[in-house]
Amino acid sequence: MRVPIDWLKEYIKVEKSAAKIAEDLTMLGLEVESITEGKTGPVLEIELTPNRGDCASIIGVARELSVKYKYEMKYPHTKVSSSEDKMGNGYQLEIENNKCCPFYSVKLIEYVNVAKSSRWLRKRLEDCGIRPLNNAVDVCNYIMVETGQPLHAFDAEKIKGNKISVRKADGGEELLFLDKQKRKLNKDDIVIADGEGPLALAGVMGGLDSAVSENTEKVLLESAFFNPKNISRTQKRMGLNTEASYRFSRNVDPKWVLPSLYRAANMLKQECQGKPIPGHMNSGRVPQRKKKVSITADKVNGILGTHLSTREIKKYLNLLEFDISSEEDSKITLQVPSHRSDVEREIDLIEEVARVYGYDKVESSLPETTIESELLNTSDNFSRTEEILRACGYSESVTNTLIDKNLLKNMGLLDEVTPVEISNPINVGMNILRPGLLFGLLEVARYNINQKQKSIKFYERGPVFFMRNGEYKEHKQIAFVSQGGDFYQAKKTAISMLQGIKQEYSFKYHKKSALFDKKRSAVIEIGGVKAGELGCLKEMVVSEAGLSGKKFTGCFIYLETVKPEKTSDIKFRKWSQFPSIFRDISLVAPIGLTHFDIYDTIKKAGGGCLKEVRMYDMFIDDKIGRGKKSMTFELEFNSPEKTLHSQEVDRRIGKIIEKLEKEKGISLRKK
Amino acid sequence: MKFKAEYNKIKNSAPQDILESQDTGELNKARARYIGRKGLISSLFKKLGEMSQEERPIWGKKLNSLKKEIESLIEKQRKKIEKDELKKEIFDPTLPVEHFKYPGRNPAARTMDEITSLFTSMGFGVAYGPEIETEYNNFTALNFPKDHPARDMQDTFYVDKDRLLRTHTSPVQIRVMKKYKPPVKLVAPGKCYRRDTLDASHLPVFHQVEGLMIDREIKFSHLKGVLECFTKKYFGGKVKTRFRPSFFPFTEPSAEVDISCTMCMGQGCSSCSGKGWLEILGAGMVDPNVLENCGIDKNKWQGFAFGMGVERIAMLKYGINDIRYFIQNDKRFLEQF
Repeated sequence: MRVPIDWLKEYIKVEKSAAKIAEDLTMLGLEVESITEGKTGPVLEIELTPNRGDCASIIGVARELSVKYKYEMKYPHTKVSSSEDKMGNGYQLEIENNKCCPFYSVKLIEYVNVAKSSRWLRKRLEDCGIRPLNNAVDVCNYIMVETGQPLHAFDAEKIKGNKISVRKADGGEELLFLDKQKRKLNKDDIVIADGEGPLALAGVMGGLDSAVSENTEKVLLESAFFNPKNISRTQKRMGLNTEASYRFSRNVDPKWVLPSLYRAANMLKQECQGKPIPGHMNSGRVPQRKKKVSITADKVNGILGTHLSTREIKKYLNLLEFDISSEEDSKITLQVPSHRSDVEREIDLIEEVARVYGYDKVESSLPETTIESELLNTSDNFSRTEEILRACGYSESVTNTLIDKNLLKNMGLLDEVTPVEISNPINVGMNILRPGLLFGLLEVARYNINQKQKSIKFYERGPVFFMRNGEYKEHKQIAFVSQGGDFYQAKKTAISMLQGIKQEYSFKYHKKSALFDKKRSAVIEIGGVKAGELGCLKEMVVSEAGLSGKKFTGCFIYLETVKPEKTSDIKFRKWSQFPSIFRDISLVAPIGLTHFDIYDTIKKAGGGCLKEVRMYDMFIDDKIGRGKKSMTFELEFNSPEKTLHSQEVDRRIGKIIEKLEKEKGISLRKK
Repeated sequence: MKFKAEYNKIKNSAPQDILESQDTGELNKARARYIGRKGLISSLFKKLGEMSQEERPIWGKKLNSLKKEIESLIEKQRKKIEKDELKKEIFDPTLPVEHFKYPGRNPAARTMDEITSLFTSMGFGVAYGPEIETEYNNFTALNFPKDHPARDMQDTFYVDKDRLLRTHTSPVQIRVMKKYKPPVKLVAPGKCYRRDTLDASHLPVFHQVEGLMIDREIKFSHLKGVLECFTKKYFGGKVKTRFRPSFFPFTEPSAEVDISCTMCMGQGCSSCSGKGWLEILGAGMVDPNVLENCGIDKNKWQGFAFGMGVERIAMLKYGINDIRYFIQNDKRFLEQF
C-alpha cells in the first residue's frame, strides 16, 4: 500500500523525516519497502501482513504513528443520519445471505456533473498508485484510501427496476467487468444484482454496464460489509486483486461503513456539484465487535522476558485504543477496538504490548536449559560417504525432486515403479516426484557436457519417492554417475564409500535391471540385504536422458540399508607381532567360476592363519586351454602367537590346492 | 701379496664408485681414478714387471678383464647419467602435474549443513520429517485458518485430497511435539515445495532449516539471544541483528529477523534496496494453539520457533544473485563451494 506522508498530516502532527517515519513504521510491524518522491511529497510503500487490515488506510497508518509519537489522532468527523427517511421510497434492498453480507447500504446523489476531479485529489490518488478516472469514481477511491472502507458508485439510471439484491451468483451467470473483460461467475461469488442480473461482483469489481460515465446524472453510492472469506476466495479464484478486495479480504472496520458513505456523498457535493438525497438505505446490521480480553503483567513478562509494570502495559494498550473495561488484582480486562479484528486472546495483546514497547528494547538473553538428549545428533555416517565421493572426484549436486513422468515412460520404467504424481503440477516437466536420483544426475551431466566441462562425475544424496501397495514411500538414497569408465571403476568408487563407513558389502549378478546393462552391472548387498545397484547404465536410459552415444556408469544405494556406525562397537585389537609369510599361487580354473567362488574356497581351506587372499592377475590364453582362465593369488599367512614355519605354510597350501581341485576342478598352473 | 690386495680393492670399490657417480664429472673422475693413464689399473700394469714369469700372464689377463668390466660399467653408467641429465635439464617445478581437483559442493547443501551444525553446537537436536505431508500437519495443526490462501492449489502441490508436498519444515515441529514430551530443542533441515514459477528468486523446490525450543520458561528474549548468537557466528561478529514485528499463523508474537546488509554494512545499497537491512528469517513464540494441537499444556510449556530459507542465506552469504544456479549444478559453480 502506498501512503503519501502529506496526507498523514491531516490526522496527526508529523515532524519526522520520511526515512525516520519509514523506520519507525517498520519497527511497528508495517514494513516500509521503499520511499519514493510523489507529486505531493514523499510516499511510503508499505507491505502489510495479512492480519493488519486495520492499516489498509491513511487513518490506520496515522493511528500507528500516533501511538509511536504519542500524538493525538484527529479523526475526521462526519454526521450520519439515522437511515430510512426519504430515500426509503427509492429502492428495495435485499440481502439473501446474511453470512456473506451482514450489512449493505446505499445513498443516492442526484444532478451530478461527471468530469475530471480537482487537481489536489488527482495528485493524492496518483501518489497512492490509483489512476484518476472521473470525479465520482475518484471520490469513492479517495474515501476508501482514507478510511479503509471500499465504496462503489453505480449509475443509478442503469439499474433496472428498483430492487437491489445481494446474493450468491447463479452457476451460469456472467458479468462484463469494468476492465472490459467478461468473466464467468461461480456459485460462491457474491453479486449485487438488479431485476435483470448481476451489476457488480461484490467487494471485488463493478460491472461495465452500470458504471458511472460522462452521461451519468444520478449516482448510487454503495458501502457494505462483506464476509472477508468470500471475498478472499473470489479474488483468488478470479485472480482479481483490486484495491477493494485487498481491503475487504482483510476485514474492514465496521465503524467506518456508514460514515464513509456520508463522507463520500459530501465530497461528491463539492467535486461534482451533486445533490445528495438526505439519509440512506440499508439492510442487515453492521457487525458489532465487543470482544474483551484480559492480560496480566506476569504473563507479559513471562512470555517476553521483560520487566514491564501493569501501568506501562496499560499505557501501551491505551495508546492502541484498547479501553480498560475492568481491573481486578493484577488482571486487566480490555475492550478490543472495532478495527482490531485480529486481537482475540491474551497472547495477541502481549504482541501488541511488545510492538509498542519495541522488539529492539527486549533484552536478549541465553536460555538456561538442558541439552537436547533424545534427538541429539547421532552422527550418521552419511556425510562421510559424501566426503569419500568428493575425494574420488565427484561433485555434489542437488537436483529438482520434481521430474517428468514421460522420461520414465520413455525409459520403459513405468512397469518397474509407480511414481508419486502431483495433482496440480506447474508444468508437465515437473509432474512426478523422482523415484531415483540417477535421472537428475544424468541431467546435470548433460548440462555440463553441453557447457564443455570436463571430468563429468556427480553425486547426490536425497530423498526418492514411489507408490507401493497404494502407499507413499519415501527413502533416502545416495547415487553417483560418471561419464566413461567401466563397471570395475564404479565398483571401486562404491567400495571406497562402503568401506569408509564400515559396511559389510557384497556384489551379486543382476537377474534383471531397469536402469543398468545386465551384463555390466551388479546388485549391491549390505549385510546380505539388497541395498542398491551399480554398473554401466543401459544405452536406452542414457540416450533418453539426452546423452546418445555416450557411456555412463553409475550407482545408487538406499541409505536405510546402511547400518549406522556405533562408536561403542569399535574395540581395539592388537595386530600380530610376528612377520607374515607371503605365497603366490597361480591357478587354472573353469571360466564360469566367479572370483568369489575361488576366494571363498581358499579362505575356508586356509585355516586361521590365512590372513589375506588377494587376486592380482587374471588372463585367458589358448595355452591354458579353452573354457579356462588363469588367476594368480597372493596369500598372506600370519599367526598372532608365533613366527610361522615355511613347512607349515606349505602344508596349508597343499590343503588349499587339494580342496580347489576336488571341489571346484581348479588346478595349479604349470610354469 | 700387495699386488693381489690392491687388485681386490679395485675390484670391490670400482663398481660402487661408478654406480654412485651422479653426473658426468663424477663419472670422469672415477674413470681417471681407475682406468686413466695414471689410474689404479695402469699403475698395477706397471707393477706386473715385479711378478714372476708364471704369474705375470695370469694377472695380466685378470687385469685386462677387470679393465674391460670397469669400462663397460662406466659406459652403462654414462648412458644412465646422460638420460637422467636430459631429464634434469628440463627440471621445472612449475610444470603441471595431475593432481586431485576439489570437485565442489552444492552451496545449498553445504549451507544447510553449516547452519545445522551451528545449532547442534548450541545443544540443539536434529529431526527430520517426510516431504509428503498431511494437510493437517502442514497447515491445520500450525494454526492456519481453513481458508488461508497458502492452502490453495495455486500455491501448494498436492498429491491427493489431503496429502501435499510440505510448504515449509514447520510440520516437523508438530511431529516432534506429538512424539516427545517437552522440553524439546531441535533443528529440522530439509526440502520444501511451493508452487512458484522458476525465476531468479523462486525455486519450486528449496531448503529450509526449522528451529524449535520448548521448555517451562523459554521467552522472547531467549529467541533474540539464540538467533543473535547464530547471526554473529554465521555472518561474522560485526553483523547487526534486528527483530521487527511480523505475522505468521503459528507464532505469536511473531518477528521478522534482519541482519545489517553484508554488502554495504548497513549503509544502503542495491543488494538491500537501500534499506541497509536484509531479511533472513521468520521467528516467534510458538502460538498456544499450536501447543494445544500437539497435546501440550500451554499453561506449563512455552517456547520459540524459527525458520530460514537455506538458499536465501547462501545467496546473502556468498553473494549469489540468481537462485537458479542452485539446481543447475554447473561445475564452475559447484567448484567454488
